[in-house]
Amino acid sequence: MDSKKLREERIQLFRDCALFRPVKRIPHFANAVTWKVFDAGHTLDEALTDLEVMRECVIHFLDRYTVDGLMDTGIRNQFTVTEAFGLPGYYYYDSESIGIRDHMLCTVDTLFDYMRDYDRFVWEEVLPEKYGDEWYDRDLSVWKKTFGEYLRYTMFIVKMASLTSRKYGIPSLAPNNPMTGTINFAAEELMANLLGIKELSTAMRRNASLLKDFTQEWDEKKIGPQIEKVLASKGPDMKYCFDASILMLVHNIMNTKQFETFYWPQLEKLLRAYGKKGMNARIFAEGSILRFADYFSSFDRGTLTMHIENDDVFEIRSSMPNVAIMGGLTTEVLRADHVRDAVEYTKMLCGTLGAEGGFILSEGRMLSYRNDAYSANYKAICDFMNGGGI
Amino acid sequence: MDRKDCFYASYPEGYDRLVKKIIPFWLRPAKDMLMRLLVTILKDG
Repeated sequence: MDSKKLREERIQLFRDCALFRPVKRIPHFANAVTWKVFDAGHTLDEALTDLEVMRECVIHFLDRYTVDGLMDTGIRNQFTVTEAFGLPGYYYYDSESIGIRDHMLCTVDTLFDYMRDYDRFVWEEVLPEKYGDEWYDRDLSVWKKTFGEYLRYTMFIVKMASLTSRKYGIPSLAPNNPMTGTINFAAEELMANLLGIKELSTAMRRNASLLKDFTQEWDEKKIGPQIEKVLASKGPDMKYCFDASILMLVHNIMNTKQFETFYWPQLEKLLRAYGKKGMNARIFAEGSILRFADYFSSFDRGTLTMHIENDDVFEIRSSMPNVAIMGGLTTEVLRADHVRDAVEYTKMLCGTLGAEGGFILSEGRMLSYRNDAYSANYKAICDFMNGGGI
Repeated sequence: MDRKDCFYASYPEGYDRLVKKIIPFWLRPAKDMLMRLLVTILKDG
C-alpha cells in the first residue's frame, strides 16, 4: 500500500475507534519520545544537539516498528537553538535524561502585564530577568547564529513531518501546531511557565480571586477564538486523526474545587463546541485524570478520546464509558521478562477493550528513558498489532 | 553592557532594529511569525 493510502486508512481507523465503530484492526499510537534515541544506539546528548542524529533515531524507530501514529517525530527539543544563544535555559539534559526546572516568568502581581502587554513585557522584562545582564551582551553574531539554528530547526520540523508522512504513512495527529497556535489554557500556562508548580500551588490558595480573573480573561482571549473557529467549521477534517489535541497536566496539582474554578469552565465550553460539530478532541491526560472522571462523563460518545498515562485503563473505561481511550501499555508490560507475556497482555487489551470499541492502543507513558521499554517486547507488540503471531 | 547601552533592549524600537539585522531580506514578510516562535523558545526553553 502506498503511503498516502496507508495514511488515509490509519486516519479512518483512529476516527472509527474514537466513534466506537467496529474496526478491522486496532491502531497503535506510539507514545515514543526520547526512548527512540537509546533504541537506536545513541545517547541523549548526541541526539539533542545534532538534528541529523535525531533524524537517524526516528528513521531507526519507524524502520523497526510499524506503528499507526507517532507522538514525536524528533522535534520536541530546541537545544540547538538555545545553545547557539549561549545562555542556560530551563531545560537540561545529559546522556541519559532530559528535564525542565520549575520556573516562573511572572509573579502574581505581573500576570496581567504579561497577558495584556505581552510583546513588550516579554522583551523588556521577562527575557532580561531570565538571562540577567548577559541578555544585553549578546553580540549580533550570536543573534545571527541563533536565528540560523532556529531556521534549521523549523526546516527540520517540516522535513520530519514530510518524511514520516510520505515514507512511513504516519498521519498528522491534529490541526494545532506551534506556528498556527496551540490550545493553551491559562491554568496550564500558569503552571508550565508563568508561575511554576510551587508558586501556582500557593497562589491558588492565597490569590484565588486574582487567579480566577486572570484565567477567565486569558481563556476568553485565547480559547474564545478557538471555540468560534470550531463552531464555524464544517466539522471533522479528515486530514487529521483528531480535530484537536489538548494537553492536560496542571489538574494533578488541583483539587476539584480549584479545577472547577480555574480550568473546567472554558475547557467544557471548548469540548462542547467540538461535540456540537461532531468533532473529536484527543486529550492527553498526563499523570492521573481518574478523580476528575465525572466532569467528562456527560459527553456523547465520539466527542472525546482520552490518552491516559498513569491511570488504570479498565478503571477509566468503567468511569468514562462514553470516552474513547488511548493507552493500555504499562511500563510493566513493556519491560516484562518474557516477550510472550507482553504480547498476551496486548492481546487481552485488544480482546476486551477493543471488542467494546473506543480503544486505541498506546503506551501509558511517554517513552523517554532507556529502561521504559525493552526493544524485543516493543517489536513483538508492534508485530502482533500488525497481524503477526506471538 | 547594561540596558541603556544595548541597541535592542527596548520594545518595539530596539526589537525592530534587531529583527532588521538578523532576518534576511527575503524572509522579512514572515518576520512576525518567525520571531514569535523564536522568542517563545528563548522565553520558555
